[in-house]
Amino acid sequence: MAMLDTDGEKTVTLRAEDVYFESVPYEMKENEFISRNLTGTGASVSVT
Amino acid sequence: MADTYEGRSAFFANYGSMTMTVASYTGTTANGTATVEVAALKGISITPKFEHVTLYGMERVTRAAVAKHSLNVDVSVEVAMWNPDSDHILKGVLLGRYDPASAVNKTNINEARWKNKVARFNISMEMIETDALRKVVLVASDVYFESVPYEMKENEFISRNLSGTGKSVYVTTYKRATTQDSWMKI
Repeated sequence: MAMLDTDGEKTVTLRAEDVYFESVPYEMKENEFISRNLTGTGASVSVT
Repeated sequence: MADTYEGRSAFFANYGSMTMTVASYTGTTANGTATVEVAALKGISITPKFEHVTLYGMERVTRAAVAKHSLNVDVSVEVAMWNPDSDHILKGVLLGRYDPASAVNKTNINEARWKNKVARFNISMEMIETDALRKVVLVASDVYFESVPYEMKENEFISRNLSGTGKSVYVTTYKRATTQDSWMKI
């Protein structure tokens, strides 16, 4: 996940590693686009 | 103008549809093809889900391993129209079977052959991308419902919020034929 500061001078990249998802939900709701709300768990994280 | 972005598609719910059929409890199709007559679908959610077990050891604080087991398919559907003459869902849950001739009453609920049977359904969710060039069909099989809630609220239509659990799930993707208006399995 790359985040750029509002001055456009610095970028922070956050990387979640070894993420697994317990489920793959399909939500089909009236008058809405179909979406997947994914919830996962990673083993570790690194920030650069 | 196409809605597709680098092979990724958007799916609008109202293009889609849901079909529910009675699942066979004998392993044959003889009594397993009846369609459950529902309409005014407000929403459907199908969630295939595994239980996960994680392993940690004293030498590290980060995860050492992860494994999965026990697939369940959580299903929830809200419908606001149904056919009270057949009402497969109500009879399935309360009577354990789909006999349209059997009334829902104490005698039939306690019938020895059926009182502990669990009626099951197959639920198909069809999603068509907004460009209508591809569609995805997700089928939750052997879904059972533990209850049939009736919600009667002031100033509202009566609807049923059904929550069930399926045994497995199948996903098939189709592509629209270029020469005729038909779908081909990918």
